[in-house]
Amino acid sequence: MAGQIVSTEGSQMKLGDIDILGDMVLFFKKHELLSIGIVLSVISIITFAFFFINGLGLAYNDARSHLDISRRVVEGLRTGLAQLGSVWLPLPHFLTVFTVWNDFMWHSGLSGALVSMISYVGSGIYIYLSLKRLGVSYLARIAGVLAYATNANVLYLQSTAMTELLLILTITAAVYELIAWYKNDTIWSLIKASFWIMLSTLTRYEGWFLFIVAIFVITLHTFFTKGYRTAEGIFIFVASLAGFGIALWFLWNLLIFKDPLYFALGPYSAHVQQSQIYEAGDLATKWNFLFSAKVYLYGVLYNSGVYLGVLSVGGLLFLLVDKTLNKITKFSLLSILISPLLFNILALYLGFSTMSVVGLTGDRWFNIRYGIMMITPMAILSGYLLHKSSRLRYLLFVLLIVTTFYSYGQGIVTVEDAKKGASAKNVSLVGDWLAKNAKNNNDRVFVSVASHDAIIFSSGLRMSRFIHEGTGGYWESAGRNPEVWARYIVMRTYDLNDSSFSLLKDNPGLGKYDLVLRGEFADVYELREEYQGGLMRKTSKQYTSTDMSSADKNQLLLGSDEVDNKASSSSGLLIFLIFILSGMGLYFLNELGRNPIGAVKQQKITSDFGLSLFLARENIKRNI
Amino acid sequence: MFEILNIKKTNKISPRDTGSMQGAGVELNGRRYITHTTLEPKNTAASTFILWQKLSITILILLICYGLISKPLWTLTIIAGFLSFVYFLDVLFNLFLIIRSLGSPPDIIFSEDELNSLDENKLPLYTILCPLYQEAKVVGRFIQSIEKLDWPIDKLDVILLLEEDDKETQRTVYEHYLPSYIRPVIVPHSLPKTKPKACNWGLSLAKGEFLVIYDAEDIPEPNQLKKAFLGFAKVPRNVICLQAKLNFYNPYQNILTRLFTAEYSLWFDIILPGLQSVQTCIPLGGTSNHFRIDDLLKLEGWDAFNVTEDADLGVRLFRAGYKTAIFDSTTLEEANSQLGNWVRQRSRWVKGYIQTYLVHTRNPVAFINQEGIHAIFFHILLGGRIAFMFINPILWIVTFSYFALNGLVGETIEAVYPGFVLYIAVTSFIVGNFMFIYYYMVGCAKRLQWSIIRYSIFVPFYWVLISCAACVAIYQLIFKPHYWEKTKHGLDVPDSKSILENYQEKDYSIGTAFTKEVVLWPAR
Repeated sequence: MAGQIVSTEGSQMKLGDIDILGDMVLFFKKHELLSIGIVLSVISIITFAFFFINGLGLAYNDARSHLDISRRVVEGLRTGLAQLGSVWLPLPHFLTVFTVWNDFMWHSGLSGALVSMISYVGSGIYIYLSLKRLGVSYLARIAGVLAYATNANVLYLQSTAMTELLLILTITAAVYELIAWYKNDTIWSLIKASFWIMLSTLTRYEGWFLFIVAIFVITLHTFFTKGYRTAEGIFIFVASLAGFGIALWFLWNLLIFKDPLYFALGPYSAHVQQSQIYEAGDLATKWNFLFSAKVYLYGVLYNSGVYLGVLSVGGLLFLLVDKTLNKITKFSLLSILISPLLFNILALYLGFSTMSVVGLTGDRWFNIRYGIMMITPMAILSGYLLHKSSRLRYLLFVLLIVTTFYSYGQGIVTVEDAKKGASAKNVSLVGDWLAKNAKNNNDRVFVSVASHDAIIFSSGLRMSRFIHEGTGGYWESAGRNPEVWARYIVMRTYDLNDSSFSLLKDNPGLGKYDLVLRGEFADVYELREEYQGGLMRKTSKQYTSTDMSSADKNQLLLGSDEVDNKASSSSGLLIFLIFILSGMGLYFLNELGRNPIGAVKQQKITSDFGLSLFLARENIKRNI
Repeated sequence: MFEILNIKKTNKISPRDTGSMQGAGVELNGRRYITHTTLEPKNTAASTFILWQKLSITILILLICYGLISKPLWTLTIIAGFLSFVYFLDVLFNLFLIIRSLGSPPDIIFSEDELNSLDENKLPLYTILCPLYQEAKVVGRFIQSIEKLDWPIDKLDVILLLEEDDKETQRTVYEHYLPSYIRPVIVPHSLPKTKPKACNWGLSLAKGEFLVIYDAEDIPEPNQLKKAFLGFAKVPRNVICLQAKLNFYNPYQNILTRLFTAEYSLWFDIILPGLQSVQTCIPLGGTSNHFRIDDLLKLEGWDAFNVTEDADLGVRLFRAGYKTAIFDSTTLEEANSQLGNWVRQRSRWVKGYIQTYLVHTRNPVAFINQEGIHAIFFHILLGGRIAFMFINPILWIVTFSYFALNGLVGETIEAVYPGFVLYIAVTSFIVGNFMFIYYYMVGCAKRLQWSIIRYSIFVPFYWVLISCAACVAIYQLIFKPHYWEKTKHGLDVPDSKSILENYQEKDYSIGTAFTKEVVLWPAR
């Protein structure tokens, strides 16, 4: 009867004459990447919806900041790519720009989450492909993908506007292409690997470490297999493309901030932040290698689970003794796979990064999500182990599924960090106040984005309402006369690290404001009513000369209007004259070049001049 | 300069005999040109510009000048925006070609078994044309490399095309022992004095079923003819031309030859296969183009007025509904190692490309209607490439001035590049230039020329040279459009025997993954 299962003999499940399971397997084998893509996409969408409905999509303050950075490129008092800023690498924000112009996409976080979601699907596909390249069985490949794709922390992060998933995609893709290169030795795989490494260097600074490691192992591998000359060429070839992103970043900092190392040493850099944390005694891992390794490994295990950790170690051991791969290839592969581990431990050791694990460094989580970076190598190594353990593979696979489901009930550590950890600065008090009190007017808010980006996001106000460091002339003008430009000031009073406070602390104009809200992380000041009549409420282009002095207007303008048209006109005339003269000169020379004597006869020139030219021409010819 | 406004009167000259193109030509403004082809003058570079092209260029120049005087900012912004957009398009187009070329290499490859399975008794007669003009120095080596060809000698018909007034080369040829299948032929003197004219003469004397052109300094891969023969059997019938890849046997002679080699590797190993992959028109290389003679006769041979007759033929055969394919065989040539010689050679190539562009855009509407997207490809490939030889130096000067003379010209330049235009321009400048330099590296990597890669950093200086050659080209285009700037060969050539002995065909390409770079020049 149609619609009923007719028999379940053996492993076949038949519906009438149709073998459902067999057909599914056949479809999968024929369209394996498409199948994986579809399944992961569905999981991604469902998971995003789940976390969004539960209000967790924007729990990380960093997520809100990432969204705001992208939004400032397209909306604000001063827009443009320069709003991408310096400290955080630009790629995640750049990709978000394409959708963040829409208010819903911005405020829901979907704009940023979309990048993470696509990265999630892409990484899953590349894990599958990597395992396929290594020659593992179908089951082992599925296991590897499952180990990654069902990880609760991965699922959460892919629902947010955080940058970890994009980095995971770029690293996984680079690993795959390098595996392909080791196998087939084509330059196309090498180019793709370099491309992905370049993208990783534009995503997070772990990518820079990957760049160093990848260049080293590729060059070493080539040196031992093909000699110095090829190694040199390959080094330059790979480093050029892979390192282009780093070069661009230095150039960006030079052009925008006049200092190529602004991202590293500038006032908002991680270096400065880490120094402050260190002075406060909260950087426990600095200069302690073992402790740094311990903290990071704990972070890895909290994110991925102990079982996966054990499988990975097993896979690593099997890879080391695998005789089908030569030593150099093994060394190269493993170096690249564990580069996030090395980077993070080094970063903790040198004090460039900070991570807090409950029970080890304190009672709060902080940056525990950094441990998720090892998920890809662990997934690949686990899949590899499953493939190698022929008798136990089904048991290991079942245990993987069981432990994964078990982990869902134990809490998601990245969610805890977002909600309660040090990443979850509660800024809703100030944000809500602004949303309630500032929404009915169009007056501006003076605030430092470096300190209070999350407040800007939480307020729900348009970006063009905010005067911040990236608004150029507005920021400077408001810094001199806040009572003219901003009705509200949001700042952390008495904290010199807050740019708005440090700019206004000695400003007499501050006396015209009342403190209307004292929050945990920031205070709100509002201009007294009697002074609000003097507020500048137009945008720069709307101002006429009577509204403000030309000095102030020039401050606001981006330089595009103030052009000396006279200089342009004279340039145009000069070009025209040069063209005419050159053309006449060419014609004249051509005539003379052909026959200066003929030119004399045609009375084009005097005979003396013609003779001189003739002699000069002959002289030049002889010398050439 | 005022001559360009003149309209040239043309009359066709019929061939001497029916069924042959010998003696055919054209009369231009009272001057006779015997081209040995029956190509319609309007489809040749006999006239450089036709009337509407002359008028258009003049009007455009006047408009720009008027705009620069009356509304300089607007005019410069429009020009800057247009150039930036075209440059950006060119960057993307080249990237597209490279991805296609590397991702799904379309060039025809051959296995050892295929080559060994050929029955030599059934191979057809193959004609090889070799135009020789002032090539006394390299004739001997050319004959040696022809002797190395793996093709039955009774199935070879090698024609050495000697110019009537080139006594030195004639003497050298006649002093040399010539095998029975090599025959020297004197090309009667006539204008235009060009290689395609000589080739047309040779075509009229060809006896074979297939034909290939080699230059005097060429060293073709010994089994190239067999590969071409097999290639014709593999491709659809509308593919009437097979182009071998060209490269150099002296890549490491000096920095100029290194950069030249990088350029050739990029062009023949990456770009041309990329063009093939999108089934668009391919400007042929100067040599190693293989044809069925019947097809070539249908196309009426080469345009004797075009100094890059190969590029023109590639476009012409495409417009006639045919295709070109690249096959996996290489002919090694001599890379120009002297700067002056290089500039002269390049100026001829640029001039020829401009001629080709002007000829095939004489009816732009019909061109687009007929070819669709391929017309766009043509404009980007030829038009864009030519335009940027002239525009690049200006853009570089503007960029340099912006940083070095920011106080003087910074604001003006910023005004010319508002918002969106600025982004495209900066992207084109930084990313585009990097990518173009990287493409040269890709070409070298494809050819396993790893030690040349480090010289890619000098590519911008190479571009300056190209721009200089382009200026020479534009001058010649206006004042002596059909003048053939002869390239000197045999400059610092090492012992020819060592070159040929080093050339081991087994060490050469297998599929698309080269196993060993063929380098005949000893010094690195």
